[in-house]
Amino acid sequence: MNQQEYQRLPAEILFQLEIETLIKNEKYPIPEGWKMSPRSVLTYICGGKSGNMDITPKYIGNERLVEIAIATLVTDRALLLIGEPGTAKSWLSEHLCAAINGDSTKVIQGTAGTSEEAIRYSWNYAMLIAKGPSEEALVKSPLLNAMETGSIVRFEEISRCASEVQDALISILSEKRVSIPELNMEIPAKRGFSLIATANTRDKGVNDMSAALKRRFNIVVLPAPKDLKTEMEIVEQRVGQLSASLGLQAKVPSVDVIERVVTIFRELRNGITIDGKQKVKTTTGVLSSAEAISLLANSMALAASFGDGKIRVQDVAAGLQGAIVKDESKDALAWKEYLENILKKKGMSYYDLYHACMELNQ
Amino acid sequence: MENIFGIRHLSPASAYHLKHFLEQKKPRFVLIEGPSDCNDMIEDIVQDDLIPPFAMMSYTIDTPIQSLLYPFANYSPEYVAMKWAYQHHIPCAFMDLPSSAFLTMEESQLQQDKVIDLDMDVNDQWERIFEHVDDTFQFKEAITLFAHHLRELNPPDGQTCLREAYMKTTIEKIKETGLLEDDIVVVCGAFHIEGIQQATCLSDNEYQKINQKLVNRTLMPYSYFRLSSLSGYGAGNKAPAYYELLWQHMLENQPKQAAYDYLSRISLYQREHGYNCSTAQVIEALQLAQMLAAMHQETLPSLQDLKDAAIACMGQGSESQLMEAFIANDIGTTMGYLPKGMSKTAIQNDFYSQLKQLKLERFQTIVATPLELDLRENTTVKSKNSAFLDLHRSCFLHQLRFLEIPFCALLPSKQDTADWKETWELKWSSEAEIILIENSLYGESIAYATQFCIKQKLEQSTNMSECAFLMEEAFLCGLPDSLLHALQAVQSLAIDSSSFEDIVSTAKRLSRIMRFGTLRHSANENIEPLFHQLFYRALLLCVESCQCDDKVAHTIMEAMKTMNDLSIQHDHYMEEEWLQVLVELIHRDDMNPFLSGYATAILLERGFLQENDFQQILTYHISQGISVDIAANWFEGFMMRNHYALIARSFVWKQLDEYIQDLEEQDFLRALLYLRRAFGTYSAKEKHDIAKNLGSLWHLDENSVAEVLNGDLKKEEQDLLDELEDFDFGDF
Repeated sequence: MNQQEYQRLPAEILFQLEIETLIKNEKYPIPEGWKMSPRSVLTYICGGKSGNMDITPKYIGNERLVEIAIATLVTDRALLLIGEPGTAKSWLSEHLCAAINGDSTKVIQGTAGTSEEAIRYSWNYAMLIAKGPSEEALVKSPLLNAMETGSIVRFEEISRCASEVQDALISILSEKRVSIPELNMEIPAKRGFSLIATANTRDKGVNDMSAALKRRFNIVVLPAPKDLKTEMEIVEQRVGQLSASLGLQAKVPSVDVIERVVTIFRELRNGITIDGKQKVKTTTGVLSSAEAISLLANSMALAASFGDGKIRVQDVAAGLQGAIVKDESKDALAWKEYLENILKKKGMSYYDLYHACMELNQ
Repeated sequence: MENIFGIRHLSPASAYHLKHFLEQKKPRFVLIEGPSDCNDMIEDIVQDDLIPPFAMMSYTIDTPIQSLLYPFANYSPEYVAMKWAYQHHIPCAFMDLPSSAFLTMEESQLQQDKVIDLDMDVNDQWERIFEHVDDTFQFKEAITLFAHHLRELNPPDGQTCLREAYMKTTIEKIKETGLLEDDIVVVCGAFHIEGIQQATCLSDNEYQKINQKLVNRTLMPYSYFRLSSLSGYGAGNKAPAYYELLWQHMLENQPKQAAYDYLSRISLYQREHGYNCSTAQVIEALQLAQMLAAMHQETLPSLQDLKDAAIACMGQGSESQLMEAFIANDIGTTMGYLPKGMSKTAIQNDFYSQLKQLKLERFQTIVATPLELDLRENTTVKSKNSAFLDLHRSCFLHQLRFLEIPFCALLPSKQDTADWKETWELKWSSEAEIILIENSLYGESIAYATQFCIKQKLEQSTNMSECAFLMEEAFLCGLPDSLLHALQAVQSLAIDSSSFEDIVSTAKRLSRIMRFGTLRHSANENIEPLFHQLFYRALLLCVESCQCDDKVAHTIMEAMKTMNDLSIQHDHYMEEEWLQVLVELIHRDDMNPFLSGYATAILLERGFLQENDFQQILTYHISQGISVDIAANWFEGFMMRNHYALIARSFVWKQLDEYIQDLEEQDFLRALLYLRRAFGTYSAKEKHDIAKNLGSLWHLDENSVAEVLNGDLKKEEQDLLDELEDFDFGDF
């Protein structure tokens, strides 16, 4: 695969070297169907050392949660990651698959239009008509593929699917086999098969998962980054990676730009200033770390395409305006209030950003 | 010395391995780290009918009381060692500094000692490393090494060194009796192993000196809640109930079972409390917990593993759903029990025998339980004692309340009229026992201690209403002697008292005692004359007190209200005189206008004011001739009583209406503040009725007037009012 051609490469290719090093230096027993031991998976995700190589942390936050997630996959249970939008659910699930199987591409992308066929199997109708039901005519879903190879399948945004479709998983997860009555056969899951689903807490009540289905998952709730420092670390690291992979011709934003953006996001998200002294009106948007990352990448793109490659406050201000004001009537007011009451009083370091933002709001 | 066995206090693994060690070594003497002046308690501690958790308590002989606690659970290694020695008929003794020495040390040093030996933050790590070691020898080696490193990191302070030297001296003294080193097993916190080995013995002189001081000591039941760090108390242990579980399974040589047991208990708790939690989930949680342990290269899951697994498998990822189950199973409601007569203080014995007599034993749990008392005679039972059981209970509980022993709390009564009923909430805690023991300095029994405290407070008090308060307490506690004491104190202070409010509040307390005296069987013939005396004094002082400024007007008003109530409650006692005072108040111009208005309201309400007189007084007080703030203030006082009596009199509203319309703008603004305040106490319904009155006065539609008048203020109006509040009228 020519790596330059694609917009985004799967984790196992991006971090191929790290994965190979970890496999080479493996010291602990490896579960069946896995490429490395649970401990090495933990090192891969949370960072550490393998031999002489530094492994970059992929998930920055509570290591214990990652431990629970990995331990879940060692047992034959499925894993459900729940969290606010932008709390690295999909990110974590992709990297888990990359480390455990070296393959994060078996994905079912859940939407309101996902049908049961996408979960079980469907048919190549041309072939079906020509040859009748046969194995060649069978189109296997990623889940079925994972069962056959004994690997892990990811189910993104499970709560966006209709409840009827979700329920198709219930018997699959308990019996670990899919029957194909048309061919009078059954495909059993090989050892190592498991499923990682992600669901959004903001979707709660849209297509709530049934109790029976929830029962089949071990549930791990991913929290928003717990403090400013952790969040800055996450944003800084991801923006660096993004700019490299997108080939942006702009300088990576300085720590102080990142700090300002993350501070504004955190304050608006939590409804309170970082020093805990003032209440802030919250906006309708989620303002996750992921959005902060894309905002900064966006500013870099602006700077590269229309500026001299250095991020200007005007670029950041435009990004902030777009990210924060989602619902014109409510958010615009809250944002203006924040600018006047909080940002303006933050002192010299925020002065230029404040003015750039105010200009956009005139 | 090979025979020093290092332990961690309150650790089941330590207890388990210690027991094994003792069985292997078969010593002829066991020495335990513990206060050496408490040796005589060991005999009681090892009795079979004592149920842990319990604590040894030492406290100073003099006030202010300082106390020191040594808590034990049944998985405390020290307790296990004592039991073992007793069962094998081997002498056993404590070897640490006497508790008296700790109690006389500096405050700051004391604090330090409460967190004993090993840093408590290492709980999870400790559990992973030590709680699951199978082999006794390995355990002993490991903990000794661990302590060695700990000692390197935190070198011992002066106090610790002294303790270690003392312990070493005690060991040497035991050896002098002819025992060989191999015959003695020494049990101490692992931290002290090296210290004891390296310490130099104290000289005889020093040793004697330490032992000189005297303190009181006793045993007391303890609770797991108190033992857990949740109660915010030093020597805590994160999850006593869980450790007990671990201990039970260790005794059966099945430490693995503890995990099964714990998760099943969580699931059972969840089911009992309406959550869906199946056996399948328990199995899954167990698998996950074992996997988590395996990731840390452990064979058995730690408590944290179990909890995290339970959250993922049973709690849908959120800890909050399982919080209650965790607390119930980590800490639990276990209480220790001491057999009768084992507690060393008379007041404890008195307390427990009273609990039994009054049939209150079932309330000795740490779950708060309500108790309703009916103080009247129960006519369905035979003996006099059981007929008044609830009354006796009430007196007992009032005594505890007065002594601030947190065993009971009096809940506010639901109806004002049913004074024969009391609702209490009873909840036992170790704190209650501690305070109970501390009260032993005041008397041999609860009643004596209460009497003593009342007497002491009476002697210190120079204020009549304070004494009256104590008198009422004595009355509630059913202590006739104290009541008499307090009565005498009140009498002597009453002679010189000239404060109207004090006298009235005292009279009110006396009145309560008189009215409920028969119910509580403690009527006293001396009270009534005193009450009459005070009431009369108040009558004489009333007029004078009403010549006051606005600041105290409200307190005086409350006192007037009480006077009026008292007169009515006691068969219209001195009614004529009281009304006379009120009439004087309304006719004199040098009274505080607010109180004068209030007096008018009382008279009007009681029907002693002719309609004509009333109209004349009202017209007089709110007329142009009188300065506007005096008029408005008068009206405010006038409106403090029966609202309906005013609403029903259309004359009032007509008069007020005319008055307001005649006011100049400046004056109106001044009156506005008083009037708004006065109407603030009226309910929405009452305001509606007033508006209707005004509507009919103005010949307008009543309802629409009400709507306009009771609507929300407009912003400009609100601003205007805010401005007025800030305005200083003194500038006029």
